[in-house]
Amino acid sequence: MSKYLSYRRLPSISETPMDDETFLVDPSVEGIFHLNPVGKALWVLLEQPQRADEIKALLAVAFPEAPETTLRADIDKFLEALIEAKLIETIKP
Amino acid sequence: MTTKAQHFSFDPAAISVSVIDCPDFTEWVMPLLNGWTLSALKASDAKPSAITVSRKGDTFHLESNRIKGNETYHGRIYIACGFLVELMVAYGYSDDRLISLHAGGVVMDDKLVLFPASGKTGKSLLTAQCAFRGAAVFSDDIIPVNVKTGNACALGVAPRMRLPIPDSISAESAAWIKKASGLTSKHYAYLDLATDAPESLLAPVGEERPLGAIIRLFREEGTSPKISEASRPEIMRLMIRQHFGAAPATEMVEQFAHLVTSVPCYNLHYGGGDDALELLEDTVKAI
Repeated sequence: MSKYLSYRRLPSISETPMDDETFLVDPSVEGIFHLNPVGKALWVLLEQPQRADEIKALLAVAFPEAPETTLRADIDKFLEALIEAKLIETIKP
Repeated sequence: MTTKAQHFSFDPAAISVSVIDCPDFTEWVMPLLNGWTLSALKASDAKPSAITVSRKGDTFHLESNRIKGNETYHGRIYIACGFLVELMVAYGYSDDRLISLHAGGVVMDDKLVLFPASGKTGKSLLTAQCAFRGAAVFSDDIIPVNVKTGNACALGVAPRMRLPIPDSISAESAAWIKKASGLTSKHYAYLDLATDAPESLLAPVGEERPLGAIIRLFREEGTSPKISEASRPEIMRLMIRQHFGAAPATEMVEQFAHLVTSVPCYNLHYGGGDDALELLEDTVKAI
């Protein structure tokens, strides 16, 4: 995962927030995805293009109770999962 | 050897059904339905069947658009179970405004209370216990929701009890269920809720109602009944896991989110006894 890449949401994905969680729908494949509170926070950040290191720094502040190494690894995994699910895309600087 | 094929349209959903070598099939299936009508079709007028029931000796076979190959059943009640599931599924797919939920539902205090399925939590038995206390049964298994209006639709299919009825329910409830049992086997009984009576306890197919409450059931042996507010995202996830239908996912998620956020959602922990009914009734009355 390159630290120079930025990530952003794909505009076709629809979002239905509920309390501190969110449901996403990719209408092209009728896929439904659920994001927990950390996933929702990350999704909110991706409204604007963000680099992985910026996301990690912001979420470490938002979730101070989460061990930083675990949080960073989880964010990497989660970004990969979002890319694989075609919910976000990478853009070069 | 000749075969005798009959072709029917199950209305109001115009579901085409072929019945082969089983001339009395509709005689014992129709009493399990409320509001459905049958029209016999000539072979030349029949559309390709959505569901086919055939009989060879004591063995019944079931085919449908959903079933790959065919399913085999031994005994009337078992082929009825299979057929009614396929009929409900076909109804759900007959209109692209519908999303079907695996859920039970009863009309209590004039409000439709939905019990989404989540494992073996006793929704059919609880539905019957509610009926014993006068609540109309919307369904004990599948409830379509119209994504345009948010209303739930009744399918007019009799609830099916697993036998034996557990000892946890009151003797009065158990006696009523026994008395109301229609088509029965060692393992199952369909309740005959007087579908021909003016005040049937089984809502007829097509009846629509807005949701009044969503109640997730947790059945735990020996537990005293307790009701608490449910996490809305959890209820939403449960409904998404338990749905099928032709409506687009975007509309479905939007409508489910609207439903889950506009009606009270509760968790009911109970041991299966009738004491949960009073708590349920009091809760619904207070909404």
